[in-house]
Amino acid sequence: MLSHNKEQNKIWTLTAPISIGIIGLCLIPFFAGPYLIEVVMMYFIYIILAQSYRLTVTIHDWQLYHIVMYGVGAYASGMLAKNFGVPVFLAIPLGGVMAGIMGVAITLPLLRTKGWGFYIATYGLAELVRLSWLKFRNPFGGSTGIINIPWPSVIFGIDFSEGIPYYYFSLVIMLLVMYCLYRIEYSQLGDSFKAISMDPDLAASTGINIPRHRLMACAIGSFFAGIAGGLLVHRLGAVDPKLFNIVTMMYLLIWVVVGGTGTFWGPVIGVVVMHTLFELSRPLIEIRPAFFGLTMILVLIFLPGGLGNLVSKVVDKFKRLSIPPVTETD
Amino acid sequence: MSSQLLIQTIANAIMASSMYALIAIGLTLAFGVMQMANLAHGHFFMVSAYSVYALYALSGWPFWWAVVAAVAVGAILGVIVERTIFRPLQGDVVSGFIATMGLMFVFEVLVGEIWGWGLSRPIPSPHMGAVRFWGAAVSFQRVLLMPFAIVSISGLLLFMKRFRLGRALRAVALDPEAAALQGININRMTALALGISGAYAGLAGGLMSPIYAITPSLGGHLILPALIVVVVGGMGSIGGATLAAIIFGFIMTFVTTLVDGVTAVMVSVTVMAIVLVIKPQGLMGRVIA
Amino acid sequence: MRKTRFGKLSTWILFAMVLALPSIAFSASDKLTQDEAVILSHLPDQQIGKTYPKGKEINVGFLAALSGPDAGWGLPGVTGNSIWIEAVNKTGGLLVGGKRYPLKMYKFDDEANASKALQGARQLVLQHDVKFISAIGGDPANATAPFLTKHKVIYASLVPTDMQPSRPYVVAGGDVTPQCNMFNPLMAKMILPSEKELGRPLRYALTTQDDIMSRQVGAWEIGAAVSQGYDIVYEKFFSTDTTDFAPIVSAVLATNPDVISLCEAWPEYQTLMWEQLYLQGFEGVVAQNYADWETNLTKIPPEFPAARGAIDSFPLMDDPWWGENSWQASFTRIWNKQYGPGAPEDVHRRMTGIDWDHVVWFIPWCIGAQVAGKDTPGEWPSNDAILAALRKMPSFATILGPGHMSGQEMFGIQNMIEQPVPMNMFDLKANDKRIIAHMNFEPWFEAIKPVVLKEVKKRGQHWTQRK
Repeated sequence: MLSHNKEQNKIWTLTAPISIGIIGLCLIPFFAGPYLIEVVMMYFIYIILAQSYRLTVTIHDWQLYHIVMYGVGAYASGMLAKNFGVPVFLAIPLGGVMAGIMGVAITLPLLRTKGWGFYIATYGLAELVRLSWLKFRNPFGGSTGIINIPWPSVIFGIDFSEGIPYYYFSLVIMLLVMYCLYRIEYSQLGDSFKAISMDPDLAASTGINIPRHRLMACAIGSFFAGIAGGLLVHRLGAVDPKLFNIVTMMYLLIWVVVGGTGTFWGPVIGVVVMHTLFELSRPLIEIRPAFFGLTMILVLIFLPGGLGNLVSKVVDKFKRLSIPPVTETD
Repeated sequence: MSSQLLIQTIANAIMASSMYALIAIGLTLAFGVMQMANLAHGHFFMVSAYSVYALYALSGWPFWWAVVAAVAVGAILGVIVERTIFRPLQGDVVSGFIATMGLMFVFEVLVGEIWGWGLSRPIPSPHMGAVRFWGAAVSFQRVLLMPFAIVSISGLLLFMKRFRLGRALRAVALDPEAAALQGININRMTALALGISGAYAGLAGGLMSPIYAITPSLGGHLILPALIVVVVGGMGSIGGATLAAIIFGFIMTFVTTLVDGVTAVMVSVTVMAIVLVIKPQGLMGRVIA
Repeated sequence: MRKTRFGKLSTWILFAMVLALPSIAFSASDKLTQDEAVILSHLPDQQIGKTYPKGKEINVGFLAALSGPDAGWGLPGVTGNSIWIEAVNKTGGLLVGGKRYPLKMYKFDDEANASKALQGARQLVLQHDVKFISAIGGDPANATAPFLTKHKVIYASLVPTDMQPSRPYVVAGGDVTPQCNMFNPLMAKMILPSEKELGRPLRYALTTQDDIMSRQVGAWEIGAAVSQGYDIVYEKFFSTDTTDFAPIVSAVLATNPDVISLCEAWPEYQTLMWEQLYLQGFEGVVAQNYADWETNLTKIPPEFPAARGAIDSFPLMDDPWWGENSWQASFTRIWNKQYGPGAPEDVHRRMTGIDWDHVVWFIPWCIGAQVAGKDTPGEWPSNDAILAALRKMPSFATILGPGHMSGQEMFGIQNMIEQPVPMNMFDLKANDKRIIAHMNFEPWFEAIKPVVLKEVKKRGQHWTQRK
């Protein structure tokens, strides 16, 4: 069966680098200074965001509400922990659930809307949510936001408000999220998703319930975005509406488009490359956005399909050279 | 609401509608012909406004000549962007979106580096007075927008109906493949479309430069309402964009006056969502097959 | 895939053009100028010309928006701090405890975003060991406070409302807000006819953008207005995305106010609001925190603000009030020489309040270090010692005049510099704002305190209510 063979192939080529990567990430706190640990943590959050975004995008369309779902998770988790005393480890997944529900709520009325109407409508409805944080000072804090959001408590003697424990906490969450998304990608559900993204009419004719699958993808994607929000807010200790505005959405789009959605690993590559570029170009101060913008344009023009596609091609070439040819067609 | 305030608010709303319309028509034209969004449209506006600043405020050109120059600047920008960004991307909508986003960053930095980052650039009002009618007062500079909006919209509609080039543009917008089969040079048409779109952005930027605070981030503030107006009106539909401009101009103005600005945006966005749920292609847009 | 060669070529040209952006030149001269000596005179013990052993480099941070839409608020602040650092370093360094410590500034662009600000705080402290951070404040202050408190790094915010007892190292006062705002209703009364003459209470309207600082400052200003007997007829905050001010001004005018306060309205907003006030024919008094007359007068004739009083409190550094040989005049000369038109680091704009706003706290920190350093010779004093030293001093030099530490009453912690509050009005002869008085805040506040605190608490803006 096609998907299982593919899965075996992927496991072959990927297990080694992934294991090395995970071990590397686990070892970072032993070698890196405290600042670098914090920076890498942000990568984890961004990777969750980008990867979950890809799920919602490949099956439906480029929605512009994802960052606000990140915000829903942040606000929900923060408020549950602060106002209702919910333990942080529980508040974060609850925040994710809240985000998942919100994602469905936004997508449901727009199932029949396509193209630019869809993009702008998702942006608009998301803004509606974000503006309500701004407008309703009680309970959301308005422009001032919410402060004194609790850190995770001490468990088994480990104080999770410290940098290194929180780092491992975020790492574990990120790996879990990636694992879930990976399993979905190569499951029957994932096959249905792929079928819908490639040819919706054909998929519908084979009996796949398209609206239901779309809503499922949006729910899952938004849920993970909400988780990312929870991770953020319990590190920051504060939240405000400005964190989830169109500028942040733009960065997310940049990572995902530059990385490419054609391959599973595209968004991860996009985050790593573009965010590193962003951080390394700090010395440029006010000129940095221009440098960043130009890089985006150049990558898009010269590398259609994104960096993920490029890496994929390189890996394929490598594969063809080292592994005997498989009978299945690509 | 007192009758005095009502009249003033209606006057403000008409002005706001003209402003939205002038900004939106260029954008919707580009959409219609290329099927791609030019996110940098707001930044064409901004760069043209800065051209007026440079020529009129700094170098003493007469205002109207500066506006003509702004139109030219917008047109040139449009053609350059079509060549360097949209043509190589070959209709990849998403990449076009992101690439124009990159352009936004580039323009902002260029303008900020040349003309400075702090505070806004002062552009003297060429006509510093108000027009008063029925107890309402509107700045002369804004009142000027209305005839310009009307003339440019009707001019564009006329061009698209009566002139060969305009009809060719419409053909490309309706069905690019059929148009190509008819011998229409798609590349030239998209360049023309974006040139005209840029020219309109330039006209809007030039005319409105005394009205807005001219900062490098002005484009970012304007593009989102412009997109909403264009999408609700129906992409590619000039009449639709005009209608949507009027609707949102009135909603934003009245709700801001009666309640506040944030609520105004929330109401606008809700109206937009309702329209797009009922009519996904916009008020006057074509149904996408 | 069919790609036009020309398309790609033009993209490369664009790339090359941007890379060719002029790079920033560095300043040349090494000798201390007369003007620089003047600005250094605020230090009680710099002993210019005397050599002392060299101490390690002391790092300070600048954490604000340096790019993007909020850059106008952050980036200009770099110039003022740089001028101060340059002058100090030309004398060998800040003289503390018998050693000369050179100063160095590290910048971090937080794009006015709270999570990036926290990242920036971490980099500045963990990688560069900064002891003092100049920042704008607001949401970034909330996110960075716990970390900076733990590391005992001073965060000098422009937003006084960031100060709280739970944040012992957050200081403010550079802006003299909200004190200057609170004087607006008082100053307006000097121009308006009295209640008795009108037969009714005076009416006060306030409108400004919705952000952390404006919310709190607005509450204090309204409190002051109530204490002066005003009726508050309009009190609303507009979104920071607003580009069309006509409806907002119409709404304000519909309430028939005697005074309209633009409070903390950003420069670009206040220009457009003034324009609408002129067009829609307001005939009362206008007050605000920061008026930008160069821009405003391109839209309205000078007779209009002259007739409106046009009260504001951001003084010009080249106001004749200070005098030719003043600190302010020297600072202006240095700034123009380095950053003005034709200068090596020409910033293509005129000097704004933000250029010197951060220096207002930077200098007292240096003063405190010098004073505290006497108790710990050979060592750089801790920030606790520096703050304690400043609090003990009955008076020390600040840009706006003799200042002292205050803030217990208003913010629960003595972390604010209290200075004479400059109040400007528009001067028709000068076609610009001119200082008309320096006000003494504390005695006046004592008298009106209960009324003001009641209004502030009613709006949930008191520090005890900030949970």
